[in-house]
Amino acid sequence: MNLPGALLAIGWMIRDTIRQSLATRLFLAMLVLSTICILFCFSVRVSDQPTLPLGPGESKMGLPKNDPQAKKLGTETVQAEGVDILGGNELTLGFGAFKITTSRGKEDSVRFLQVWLAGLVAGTAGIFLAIIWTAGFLPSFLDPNHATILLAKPVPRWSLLMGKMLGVLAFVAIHTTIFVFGTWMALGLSTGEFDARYLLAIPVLLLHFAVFYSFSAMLAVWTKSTVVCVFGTLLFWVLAWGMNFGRHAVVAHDPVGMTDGSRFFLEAGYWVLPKPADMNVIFDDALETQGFAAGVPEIESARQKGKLNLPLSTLASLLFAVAMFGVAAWEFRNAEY
Amino acid sequence: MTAAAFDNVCKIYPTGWSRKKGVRAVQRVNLSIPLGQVFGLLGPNRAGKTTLVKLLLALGRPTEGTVSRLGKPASDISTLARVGYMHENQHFPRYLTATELLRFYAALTLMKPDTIGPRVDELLKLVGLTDRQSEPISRFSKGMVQRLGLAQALLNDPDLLVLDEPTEGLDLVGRALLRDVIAAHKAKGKTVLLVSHVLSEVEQTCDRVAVIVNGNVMKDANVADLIRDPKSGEKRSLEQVLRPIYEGAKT
Repeated sequence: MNLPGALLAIGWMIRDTIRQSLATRLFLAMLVLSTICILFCFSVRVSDQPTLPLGPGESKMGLPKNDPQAKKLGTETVQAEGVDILGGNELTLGFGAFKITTSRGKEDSVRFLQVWLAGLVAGTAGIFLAIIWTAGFLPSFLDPNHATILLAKPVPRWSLLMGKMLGVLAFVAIHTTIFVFGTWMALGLSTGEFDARYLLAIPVLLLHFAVFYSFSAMLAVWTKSTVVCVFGTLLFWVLAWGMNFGRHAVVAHDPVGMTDGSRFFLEAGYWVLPKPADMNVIFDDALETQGFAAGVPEIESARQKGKLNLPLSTLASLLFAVAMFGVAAWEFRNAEY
Repeated sequence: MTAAAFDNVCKIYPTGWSRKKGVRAVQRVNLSIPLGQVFGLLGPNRAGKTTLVKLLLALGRPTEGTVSRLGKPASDISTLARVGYMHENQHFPRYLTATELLRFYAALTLMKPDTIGPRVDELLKLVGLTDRQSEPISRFSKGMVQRLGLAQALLNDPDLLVLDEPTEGLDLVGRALLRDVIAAHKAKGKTVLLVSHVLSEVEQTCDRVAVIVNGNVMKDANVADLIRDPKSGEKRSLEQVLRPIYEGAKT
């Protein structure tokens, strides 16, 4: 095998994919969306009231700010008794256009926004858009009138496919970094809270995308159809979420009448398919969101029963991506043009 | 050593869900293309010409028989570094400029990096695209894309140049350029495999031709011998010679 030739081909295909994303203005479109989110983060302000320090294992408790007793006694008197006044903080968005009274302190408010940005904006809407927008890259590359000239070059076929796939991953990695680092920096500058754990969202989001893109790549090599790639991958995404939650729900509620065979197939499906919900839990754990936001009861229950192994779950998702890329490369190697 | 050799080659394209049935595109082809010749591959539509080209370039695998390229099995991709290929329907990435496209393909042909720049400039000048080299290909006419395709095929100064319907979309000047390129290539002792329907071009440029009909080689002869009437010794056009064979394929 000509390894230097293969590496050179991979490098050129990555470069070509980035060039393609620039020319099709996909790069610009994602940059605009990230910039809007970064500007939103710049507009955030949090006014923080002094709160009582928490002891180890102690949870935050107190009286709402508008509680008649609290109003009557006054903040200082209530706090002198060891009870906090909640709801004294104010979160403003849009440079003061929207004001939200919150019981969270500054640090928790910023972490809440970070979880919202990484989990909902990037982890759901962002990945959804990335899957749709990048779905056409591989089918256009695999079009016989385009591919035959590339395939008549003295480089291994797998290196061309791998280069294209890595190019798409590099494109998504660039935008994930811009989004996460940009929103982190903007929130930090506007609130003074720089929580570096938020940056863990970069590898988690990239892994999340890579797992589903590997499935899209397999469909692309198999069918050479952008439509099949888009709808097939989105359906698979829904299936994977469903399987992930379904398995934890069964573990949590232990439904009566479920046969051992059904449980076996559910476990097999859970371990074989990607686990997007588990990937989100990794991020929630890193940011310790349990302290200020309610977790998903089924996932918490599975964790308490020792049925949630996040490192193994991540490894299984990663292996799924590698296997899908391997199937795509094998299919492409044997494809006739 | 030959530039290309097909030894008892059959190619069946599987069809249907079970892939058990198939369309026989090429049957028991024995063909040898010597080095240093301009070799024409002729035949009516769906005769199997493009299938033979694909087998030669390892874009497909023969169902039976063996194919060799520049003395090695066609599956050995190392010899592709000495091959140039111009495809009949070239779809280049429309976002690249002519220069970017040639640099991209030159790199994938494993050319030495320091030779790429001068070679690209030389070829753009040869095909008359120097003044449009910085424009995206999306603005090119079909003829310009064909010229770019020719430049792409010549990047590595190939020992075997495969041209599949190269005159498609070319104007008179473009066709003259193509003839000059083929003649210059032959003068360097290199081989050209020309697949074409334009018999006048083939007659002017090829030393030898093979005529494929329904996947079989019906003729394999020097052009000079083929166009000479064996009885009268008079010269005929290639069209006159091949028409009965082509018409026989229709019935």
